[in-house]
Amino acid sequence: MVIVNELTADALVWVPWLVPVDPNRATEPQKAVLAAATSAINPFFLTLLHDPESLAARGLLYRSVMAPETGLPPADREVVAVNVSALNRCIYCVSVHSRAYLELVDGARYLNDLFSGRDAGVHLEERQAALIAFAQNMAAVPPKATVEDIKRLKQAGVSDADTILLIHTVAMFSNANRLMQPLGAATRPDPAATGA
Amino acid sequence: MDDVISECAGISSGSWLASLRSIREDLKDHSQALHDALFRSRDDKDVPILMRAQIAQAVAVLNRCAPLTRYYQEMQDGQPALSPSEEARLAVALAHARTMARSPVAGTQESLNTLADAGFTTHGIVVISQIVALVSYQVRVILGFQLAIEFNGDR
Repeated sequence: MVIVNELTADALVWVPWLVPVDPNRATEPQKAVLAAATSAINPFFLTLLHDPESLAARGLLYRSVMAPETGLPPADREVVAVNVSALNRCIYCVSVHSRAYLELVDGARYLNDLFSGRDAGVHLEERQAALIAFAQNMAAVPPKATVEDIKRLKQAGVSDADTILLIHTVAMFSNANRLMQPLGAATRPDPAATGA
Repeated sequence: MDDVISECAGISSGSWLASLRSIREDLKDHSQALHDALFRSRDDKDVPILMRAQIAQAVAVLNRCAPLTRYYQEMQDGQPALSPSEEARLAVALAHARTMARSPVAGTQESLNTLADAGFTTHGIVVISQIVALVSYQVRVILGFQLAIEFNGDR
């Protein structure tokens, strides 16, 4: 198993540090959450299933924030997810959302510059630059966003409704990064295990 | 308190932000439901409510969110005191929570082993992680709303 520590858009495999719940030995509350699951039953899900109540509630919140029809425009949402995750160095989140971003826009040069610590902002229009500046300031610990960040969003034409969604998106990835990164590791898929 | 985030951000009912927020009741309701899932009073020997509130307070403090710090402080009132062995576990959990809140990349298998060695079950470790993640979420939504109010005024 090769643990990946660098930012990449390559497909990675998340490996839990804790022993995930075995669905065959799940308790009744865990079975209920498994039966109602709308997301993939993967090792991350089965790790959080040790506390089924919070897993179920968090799943609903995550889906609300990420809903494509009512959330931030998808390319904005993904670029925010990548930036927050890069700041927190959540390698797996960066990988997943970078690939989602690249499916939506031609953003390979932007991501390359972001990952290598160069000034990636040159590839962005002001709307996205304002979203990302807000996201980075909000994701910092402690958060250092100010009313100036909100002013910049307004001037870039971001609506009040989208600002509210942006706030939730940054907060949701500040949440996700603190589960995904500490509870497991991003690894390269094992070539021996992927054979037919 | 039915809506911790609105109370802490100071969103008055009938204000423009309250009406904007009501367009997305789902976000408000699901935020509160996750909070309730972690803090609703129940008999949990792994991570008692007092311990949960202290962990949450520590994360609110390092993110400099005064209203949420106060909220989790008040949650501790009237809770049964921790035993000496629970106090010892709490100290380990607080150190872990502060590190994860500050820098998730510092999380390694060893840091989880430290929690397990202190006596936390796997369930307890997941609960602690969810609390750190939830409060990291709450402080940012609260600040975002506070800034929106500051920019627009509480019309």
